[in-house]
Amino acid sequence: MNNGFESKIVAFCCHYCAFAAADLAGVLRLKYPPDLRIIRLPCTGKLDTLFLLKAFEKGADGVLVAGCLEGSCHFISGNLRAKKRVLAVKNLLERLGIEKERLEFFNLSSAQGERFAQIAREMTERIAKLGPLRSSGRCPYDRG
Amino acid sequence: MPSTDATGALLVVGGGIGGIQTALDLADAGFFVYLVESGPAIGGKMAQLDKTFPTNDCAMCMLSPKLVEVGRHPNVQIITLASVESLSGHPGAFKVSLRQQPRYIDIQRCIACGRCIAACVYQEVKFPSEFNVGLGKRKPVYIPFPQAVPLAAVIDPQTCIFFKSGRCPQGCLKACERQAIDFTQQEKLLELDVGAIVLAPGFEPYDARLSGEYGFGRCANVLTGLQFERLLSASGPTMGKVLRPSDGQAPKRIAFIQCVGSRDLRHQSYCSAVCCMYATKEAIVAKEHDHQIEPTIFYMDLRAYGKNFENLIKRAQEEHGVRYIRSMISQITESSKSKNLLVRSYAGGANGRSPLQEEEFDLVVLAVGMRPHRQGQELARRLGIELDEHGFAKTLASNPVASTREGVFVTGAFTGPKDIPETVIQASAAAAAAGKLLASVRSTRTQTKRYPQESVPDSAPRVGVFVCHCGSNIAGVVDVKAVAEYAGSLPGVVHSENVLYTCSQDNLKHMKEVIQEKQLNRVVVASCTPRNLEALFQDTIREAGLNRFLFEMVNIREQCSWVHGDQPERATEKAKALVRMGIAKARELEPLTLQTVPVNPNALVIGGGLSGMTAALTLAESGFETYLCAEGELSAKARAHPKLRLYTDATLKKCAGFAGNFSTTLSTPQGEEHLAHGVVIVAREAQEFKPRAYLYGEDARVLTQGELEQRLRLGRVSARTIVMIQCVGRDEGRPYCSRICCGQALENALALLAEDPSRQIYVLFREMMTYGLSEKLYRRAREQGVVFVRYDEQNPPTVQRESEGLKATVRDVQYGQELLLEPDLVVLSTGVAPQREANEELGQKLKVPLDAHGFFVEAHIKLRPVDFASHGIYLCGSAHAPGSTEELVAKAQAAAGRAAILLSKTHLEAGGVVAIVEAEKCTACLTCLRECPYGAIFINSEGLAQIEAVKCQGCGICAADCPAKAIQLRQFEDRQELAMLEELLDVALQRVNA
Repeated sequence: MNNGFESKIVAFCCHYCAFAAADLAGVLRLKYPPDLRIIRLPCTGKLDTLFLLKAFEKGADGVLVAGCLEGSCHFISGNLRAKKRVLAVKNLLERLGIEKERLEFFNLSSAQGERFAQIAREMTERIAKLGPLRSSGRCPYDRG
Repeated sequence: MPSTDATGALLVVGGGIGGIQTALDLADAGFFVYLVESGPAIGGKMAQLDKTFPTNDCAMCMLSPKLVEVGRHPNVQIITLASVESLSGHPGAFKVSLRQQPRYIDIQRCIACGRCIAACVYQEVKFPSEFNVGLGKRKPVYIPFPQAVPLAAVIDPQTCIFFKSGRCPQGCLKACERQAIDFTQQEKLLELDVGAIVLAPGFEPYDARLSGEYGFGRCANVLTGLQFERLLSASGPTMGKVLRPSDGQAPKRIAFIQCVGSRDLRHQSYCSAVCCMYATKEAIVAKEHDHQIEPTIFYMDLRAYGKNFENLIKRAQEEHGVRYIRSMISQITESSKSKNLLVRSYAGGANGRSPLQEEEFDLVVLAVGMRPHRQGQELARRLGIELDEHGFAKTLASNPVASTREGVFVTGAFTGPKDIPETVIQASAAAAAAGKLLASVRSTRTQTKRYPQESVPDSAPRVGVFVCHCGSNIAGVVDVKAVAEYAGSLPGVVHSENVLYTCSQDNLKHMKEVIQEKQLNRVVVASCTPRNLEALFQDTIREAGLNRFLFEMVNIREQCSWVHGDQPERATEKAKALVRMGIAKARELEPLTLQTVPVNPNALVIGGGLSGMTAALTLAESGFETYLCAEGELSAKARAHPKLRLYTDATLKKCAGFAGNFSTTLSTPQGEEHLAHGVVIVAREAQEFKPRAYLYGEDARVLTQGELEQRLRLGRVSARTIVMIQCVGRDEGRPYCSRICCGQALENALALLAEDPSRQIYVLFREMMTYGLSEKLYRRAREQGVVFVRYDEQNPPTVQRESEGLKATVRDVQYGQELLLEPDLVVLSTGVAPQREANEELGQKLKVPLDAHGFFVEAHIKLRPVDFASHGIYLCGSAHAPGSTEELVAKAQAAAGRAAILLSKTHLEAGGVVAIVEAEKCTACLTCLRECPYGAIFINSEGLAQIEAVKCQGCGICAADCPAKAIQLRQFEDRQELAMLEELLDVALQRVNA
């Protein structure tokens, strides 16, 4: 499944929903590949575009951002701001020659442990198909 | 009045959302609370719900933080598996005895790891799970649900083999690494001294087996609404997949049957008030889960009377294709082979349709109603409070949370069918009323913890790392020794060790010793989720003299051992990476100080109607100096109180400041008045809408319901034939349901008939919104001969003036006939409309939001119904949402109660995880000002953005949006996050290796 390489996937998760969903996935003992590592934020609204780019600059093979369901953000509108930023960065990635599929935004509620595990699986599979970031040809960071 | 021996502790009975909110409000307002729950965990019915209407928010997401908060509150003691035995004493000084059933598990020791469950002699789950309403199964030893508080296992002696036969190998005892299981526990009797009692026993769903025609209990694929809720839940028995119980197949055609057990003289004559909306929600959510599903809702009257309820129905119809059929169900039968269900309904004979219809469905969901909880009945008997004819607690409209016994308050669905926001409002109202009674003994039973002076880390980071085994929960998968060793090798780490249970009392003590011994100035715990225990560890390091923000928690259980059990090596690698990340962040942590801001204990209430008067009096009687800014005349009876200062004909000119410290200028006929206060309550009312239609204002024989009510009071109605038209003005810019008009019309109709029973009254309506207990009015009106004619909104009635009198026509939808009526009096139900312009003006001055119709908008529709998003400002009154007298009084009491929480504190703590502006980088572009959801940012006298720490909620939206990178969110600063990111991606490691 991992296509011969262990990918590095950064998951920026909001405290109230996505992070809680990851906890529930654990409580339910659901299995997903260990490629993904979570950085907790109070709200995805805190996530700045620079950090998304930094993650790729520093070698992340994939980045996912997971916030509350739309309309249910603990901080009213943070997830909507984050979604916009993720869309903007996707476009930037394309212009940099990085597949925009390496970055994705997800909405999920804290009760969706199963969905969190599924997102982790999906994202890992997707990155496995794309291969390591540095092999993607046109990437300006590919100095090898 | 309470006597001089009053005690500042209270008893709250019932651990559902109502009881939890009451407990939190009281504990936050300076009282000690015993929260008693009959089951093994708090959470109530809300915990079982998947989503909540009308926003379809996730129920558990909203509830779970509340569960944790009340579970950790230093002034709340949760007592599970307990019930009230008896009550003696008097208001202010009651003695309560409780009987607590044994749990057979020591809550203090249990860590909910589930090993006892795995080791149970029953290898398979066997007994119906209460939490999953029988759809899922559990063992005799079980954890009520994953987010349960207290989070501990429980043994059910009814099904446990050991209790039944004594012959059980007791694998659980051996499996438990914490010696938490204790089969010798006995029933306990507890005696408590409390000043007042709040009863929140809630409701139970109607037992659908009693209505045999629906086939519940006989047909496998007939479920109740609550069961269906569990099917929809991602953590339910099918993991959120909608599957038929009979064959596990995905159903396509789902029928929802309304009014099961409600509005039914054989069972419960009242309307359960929530079913129309919950069925609509369930239909939409089911459709969202599986697009194949075709939901059909069979209903009698569609009662979407609350704020934004109608929008949800519209969305269900237009976006999700939910079919609504007005009909009554005569029978549901099951096909023996397919287990499909044949629903036979009676839908009237309009438009040449056969009145009896039959249709086949794959699954039927019964929208069962609410009935008062059995335990509530028993409680009422033991406590000597009166119930109404249905078994709900008796209350007065003027004090909807007071029972018939002084000092005993009632709240939530115990007083009648209610949805979540109504329950939360009543919960806060009950807390306000009980708090008012005990105002003189506030803060006498609560405890404030004292901490040693914090040392300021002046040297380089000295990080201590504690890697938890969690018994075998982590250590069984992750090589925790290797992780601890690895952590010890990382820069800045001066101490690293393994601990069996980091959260155990003995380890917490050990941690404090190590902090002092090794002069640690940063602490990292690698164990379970920070969502449960972060606060505990922060508190521990604070006890050791460290600033609590010098702590970082790494989750190697939920995020590692529990999900990567099949790949122990990679799990260990990941655990190392996570710990490395945590240490990197810890090195960058800084102590954060909280500034304390004194609280001005006075209140300002805006609005001189029923709500304003109620809120102001509640606060004054609770001991707070209150200013009531009555805009214009007082419309409610003013009562004098030494703590209440009245400003008639005053308007708010300006208001500045923040929670705890507002300063306001009022314009009064006597000149300007400057007030300093700690809170603001917006308590404006909306007014009866004055329409332009139906000759209103042109013909003296056309009145509004409000005008009729006045005339009735004066005994000046002579008309014999009266036509009432409902929903007038809904196409004149008032598109929402006003909730109160149907009830008001029927009260007037009954009063007219009481004067003269020979009067002929016609009510022309769209939907009869006599929700909850007001269904009684509808029934009585029909019994007394009021003629109800339903019209279609596309085809509204007409009223003409002719020489011989008024003529009204209406097309009766039920029979498809045009009716011609000749009334002497036409009465229009016009609903209520907020004064949009005035509200907009006030909204701008206070920086609080309004909706499209001009109603004020609360912070959260479900759980913060009387708070504005801005801290320190609260709302009630019909300018928030229309409501009956009883509902408005409860809402005003609730707003006063919420305000009292803040006013009861001498100081507020501000700061900590808040955003700060680096002045030299700020270009005053105003981006942050626009994006802040809390209005916490302003431009200071130097022309730069500044963030009011008291208002900041710590979301970090401004920090991310600032184009100049001039804003940092403390504890989540760029360099701290970057340090984690670099470690995650091994960048730092590569640098070392290179």
